[in-house]
Amino acid sequence: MPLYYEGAKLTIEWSDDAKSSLEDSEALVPPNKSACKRQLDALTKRLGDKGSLRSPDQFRNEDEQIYAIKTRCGLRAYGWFHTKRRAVFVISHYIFKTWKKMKKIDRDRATNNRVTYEAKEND
Amino acid sequence: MTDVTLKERINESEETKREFAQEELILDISEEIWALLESQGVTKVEIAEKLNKSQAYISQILNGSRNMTLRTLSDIAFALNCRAQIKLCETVHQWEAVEKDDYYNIRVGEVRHIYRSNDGANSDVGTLDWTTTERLSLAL
Repeated sequence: MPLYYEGAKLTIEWSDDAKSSLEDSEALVPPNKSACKRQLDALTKRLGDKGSLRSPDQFRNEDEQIYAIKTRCGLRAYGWFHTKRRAVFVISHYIFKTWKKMKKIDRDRATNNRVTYEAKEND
Repeated sequence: MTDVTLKERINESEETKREFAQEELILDISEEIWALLESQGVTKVEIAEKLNKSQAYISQILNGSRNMTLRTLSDIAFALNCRAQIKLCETVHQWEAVEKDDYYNIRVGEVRHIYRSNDGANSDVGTLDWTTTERLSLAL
């Protein structure tokens, strides 16, 4: 599975949907807010290095074990903690959003990515 | 096409490295404050009241959308019966660790790994080709 970051506490992996969704969502970030792309990097790195993020404004369990890594500009990553392999967090996909709550379409997308990801692992 | 890694994203240019360093510092400080709030059982609402600020202001400070002055940082620490100790130090990265409990101490001009075993003893295990910058660390 694509390795995105090997932290001291967690390995961060990407689902097949992660790369293209990151490119799509980053294209929507206003030029004057481009620093929040680096905020997403910093949050992801810290998650890998420390194993969690304390700020509920920046990392929260949305539902059904889907977690959101949230930046101040609306750039977000959704993912889950791997249940079979220890210390692995898988990023499902990225979005750029201006609304607060996680939408059903994103929950379904993350759930589908998880099913696909786990099926590939079992092959 | 290969997938980009987080390390490659951060090291894409001097600008991305500079912006990342800023965001990492903001995150280090806000996570330090969150740790303190948790350990003292203080909520964001309570710290806002102590500082005579709105909850939204505290949220903006902690997520980096509003710049935190050193005075504000001092006031937050003071409200939590602490003081902020700040020092400039050489960069320490953990992202080249071979094993989960390892870490590397990377120095300017003398790039080296320091391996810490479970008993706390340090020993060198190799060298890294790495560009380092000075970094501000904070302990409350």
